[in-house]
Amino acid sequence: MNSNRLLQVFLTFLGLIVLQSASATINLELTQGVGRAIPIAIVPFHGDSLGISKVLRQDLLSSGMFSITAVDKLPNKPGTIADVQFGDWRAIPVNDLIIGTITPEGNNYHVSFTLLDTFKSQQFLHFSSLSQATVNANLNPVLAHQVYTIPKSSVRFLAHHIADIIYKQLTGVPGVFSTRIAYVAVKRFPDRPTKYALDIANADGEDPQPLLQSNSPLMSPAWSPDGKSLAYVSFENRRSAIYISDLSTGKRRLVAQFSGINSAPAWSPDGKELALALSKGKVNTNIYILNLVNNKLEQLTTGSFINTSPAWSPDGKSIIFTSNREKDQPQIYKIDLATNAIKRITFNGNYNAHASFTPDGNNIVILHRDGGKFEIAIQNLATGNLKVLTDSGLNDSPSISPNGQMIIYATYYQGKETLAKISMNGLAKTHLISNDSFIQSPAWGPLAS
Amino acid sequence: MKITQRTFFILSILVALILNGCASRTMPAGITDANHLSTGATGAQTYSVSTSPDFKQAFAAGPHQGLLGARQFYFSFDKFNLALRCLSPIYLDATQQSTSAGNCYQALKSHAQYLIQHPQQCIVLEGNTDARGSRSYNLALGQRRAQAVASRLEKDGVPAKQIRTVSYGEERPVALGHTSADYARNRRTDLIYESCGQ
Repeated sequence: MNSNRLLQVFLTFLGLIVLQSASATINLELTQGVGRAIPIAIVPFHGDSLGISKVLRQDLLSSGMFSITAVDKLPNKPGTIADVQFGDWRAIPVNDLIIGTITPEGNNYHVSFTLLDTFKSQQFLHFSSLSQATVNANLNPVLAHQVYTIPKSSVRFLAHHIADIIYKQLTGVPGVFSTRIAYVAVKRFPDRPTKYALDIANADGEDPQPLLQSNSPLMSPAWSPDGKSLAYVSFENRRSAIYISDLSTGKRRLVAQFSGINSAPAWSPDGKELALALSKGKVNTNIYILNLVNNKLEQLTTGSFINTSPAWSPDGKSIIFTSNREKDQPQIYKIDLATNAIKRITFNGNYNAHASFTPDGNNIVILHRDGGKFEIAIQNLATGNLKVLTDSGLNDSPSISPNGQMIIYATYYQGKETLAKISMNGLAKTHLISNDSFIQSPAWGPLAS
Repeated sequence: MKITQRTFFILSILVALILNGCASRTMPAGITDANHLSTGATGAQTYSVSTSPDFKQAFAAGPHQGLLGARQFYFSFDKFNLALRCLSPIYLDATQQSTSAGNCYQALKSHAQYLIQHPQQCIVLEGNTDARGSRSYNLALGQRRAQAVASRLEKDGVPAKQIRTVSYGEERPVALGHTSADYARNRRTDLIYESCGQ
């Protein structure tokens, strides 16, 4: 019996099951249209019995950066560049065209795709040849071309990888289609105890895997910067505690189980420290920093207030948090880690909470109460300008994609607690719908290394 | 003072019912229908104390005679001051009726007396909030609601070592709907008897 198996037995004994049983299935539904986007076309790949082009289309649509010609509006369906009549595509008009072919060989598939710039091809209207195209790089319509050999099981993985290449090529920013998300899935029954699971899935909600299942609430998953561990809050044994689980082994480490609240773990950018919100047996909750190397705990805030939801600045020099220190209303404050000076940074409205920095450090994304509605909003730190991105009224837990272009958050959709993604420009919104669970507390993982 | 509080409570419930278009319910929805499965205005299913195993098992332990059956104490939105509004507790036993606001304090006194007389008995006070707002902030808010009940019991003479507090924030709702009445039922502190040293 290896140590991992031992751990499983131990956790099962505690009423927890690790890495077992099927988790919530999530379906993706694009619920908001896109304007001012890059017009592109995706021709269904020749021989695509695997559905690669469909995943590709779904990924690129959900980003809010592209408007994609409907399949039934395509003038023709070329599989290779030799068959592309560029004038047909400029007439739609689309700026870029994606074509591909898939050929089976034994148990594997050869997948090739080509990304073409339809406006760099004047000279090839009558030649339509890749070798001719390479003569003049400035007029080379081929922006990307790759050939892969994969087993069937890697189809979705490859589709996301291709979507990442196309996204980067056309926007200049890394794609996040191959990244993962963590969230809590809750199954409620009228006649049986509620079941909680900490799941990890692809960013589109596919391939969900349970990391932990419990009879007690789980909350606040937080990814380590290297994507190898998750910190989270568990209420097993009728008390709150913070654990860190290693995703490859399932092994976990108890990092905080003080009296009262142990909550809101947030990793420092270097992964060596964890900011926490602890009450330590008192009425008030304060922000602490736990050094994960020497286990030293340092208290950052004091006083008889609620201080919670810490988030690090990208440079690691400050932490923003939620506090009711003025007028008993939650607002966002920033603490400078060198001086411990605290400064209020939100002034719009009487409820701002759960803040995090965009990767460039220029904006914060917050939960903002607008009238009686709880909405996801973005505030520019230099100007103080606030832009409310949602309008459904009961939203929570915004988490920013590692490329800074999308936000995943918890919401209610069709009467169910579920996740939604919205582009930072507010233009594209996608709901991730589970048919059997309430989905909450999303956390967007780092870029795949 | 007690009458004022009670009147205010009844008025709040009435206002909540009218605002949510569920005036057809004959009893204050926030309190008396807790012993039945019901469907909120949003169509979401609502679970009750008596049928959900999450709560049934937890509330089973400890004494239940008279006011000791009162185990859930309510709070106003965004508030954690028990003295401001202590609403009626819910009884485990469906045959018992909900009680007045004044009796709520009396119920806490009864628990205090019981705990003083039974020093080997301990309780955990579980603070809860409704689903609106930030989960982590709600967790901190729930802790304050648990502490508010703990302070009251300690004031009535219960040694601190017999009381443990925990906050579940919005993680353990009694009602899953989204009416004001549903939210009101979730803003509460649950008093649960447990063996000491947990």
